[in-house]
Amino acid sequence: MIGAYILLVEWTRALASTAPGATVAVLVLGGAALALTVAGWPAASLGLGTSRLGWRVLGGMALAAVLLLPAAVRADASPILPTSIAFAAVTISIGQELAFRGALYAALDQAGGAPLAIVGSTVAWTAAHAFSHPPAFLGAVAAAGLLLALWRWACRDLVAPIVGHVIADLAL
Amino acid sequence: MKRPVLLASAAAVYLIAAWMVAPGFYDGFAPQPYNWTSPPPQAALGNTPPLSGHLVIKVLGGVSDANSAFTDDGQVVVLFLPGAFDVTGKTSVTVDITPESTYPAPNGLHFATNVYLITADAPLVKDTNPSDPCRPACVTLRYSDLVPAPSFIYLAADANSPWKSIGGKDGQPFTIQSTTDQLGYFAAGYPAGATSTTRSSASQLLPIAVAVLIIGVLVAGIPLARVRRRRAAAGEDDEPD
Repeated sequence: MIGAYILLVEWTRALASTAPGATVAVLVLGGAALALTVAGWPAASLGLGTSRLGWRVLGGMALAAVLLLPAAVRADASPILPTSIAFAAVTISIGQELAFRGALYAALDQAGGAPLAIVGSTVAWTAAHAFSHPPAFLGAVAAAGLLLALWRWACRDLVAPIVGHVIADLAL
Repeated sequence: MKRPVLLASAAAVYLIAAWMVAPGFYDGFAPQPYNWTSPPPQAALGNTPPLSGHLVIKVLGGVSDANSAFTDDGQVVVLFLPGAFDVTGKTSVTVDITPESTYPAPNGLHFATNVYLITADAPLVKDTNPSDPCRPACVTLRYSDLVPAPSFIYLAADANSPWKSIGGKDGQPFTIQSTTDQLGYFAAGYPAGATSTTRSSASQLLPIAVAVLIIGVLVAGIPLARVRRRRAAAGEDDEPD
């Protein structure tokens, strides 16, 4: 149910964002709609506790460094996010992490354990990007999703994926 | 030990996968890939040819109707306001937009987009005191996120005319637009000797930002490790949630 809702929001967002002038509004609304998925979930089961917060933020910076590295070493080809949609980028980054590695991961973890949660959230993450990315890019999208899901499992933490995702999206 | 190894493996897989595609895939904020007539090296992988556009504008009561001509891939949009054309003796105006691989030499200019030939079978009106900033027509060109952002739109009236700037202002992300009272060859770019706009300085910032992140992780990790060791020695529980 959560997976279907997330995919519906993401695909709608991808299609609606092509409308002239709609990019920022669609990103913000999409991020808010994705964030709704955490309603009812305790923070601890989402990996949103505050213990060892310094480590979590540091982990997010490390994840961001990994996510940005392939673009950074090809500086001439580095895309830059227009400042006009920076706020929207933050919103959708947080919304996506709460939805995919937060609520969906927690639901799949309850249903079938960590392997199902990691694989299921990665597959849903990749499918969600099918309309917004050319097919050639989906392998890299899947690899990013797998990395973030493995972090969520290995560290029982969602703060670092959020921090890493936000930083990476602001740069890319 | 299993978890760090799995994480490191996933990071390695990601780096390889991301290296195999153009930068900027991450969350789809970048526009759809630009279709090049002649792609730059970083965009050569998977490039598809740009598309053309065609529009027939009705003439109602002796005045050409308002309408927009665009290429099927959305890389060019031309908005025509009512009365944009001199329609003497005509019942309709046909507009065509085609990407061109041969065009007037861009002496001293560097184009950041394809060159498009925009033609119509009626001339645009010359309005010396336009009541609307888009009168008689506005051209919007999309550009790639893989090249420096253009500063101006340039126009060459025909194959033998020189290029001239018709200005340019940012529109939606990765677009530039300007008013025109003439059709012909259009491209967006900047003077070849100029330091490019936002993108080049930003491109230099990204490697610096990543270096700062890596240094920050290393430097901040030391005091955090000390705190953790001190807590462990004191017997405090610092397990994650």
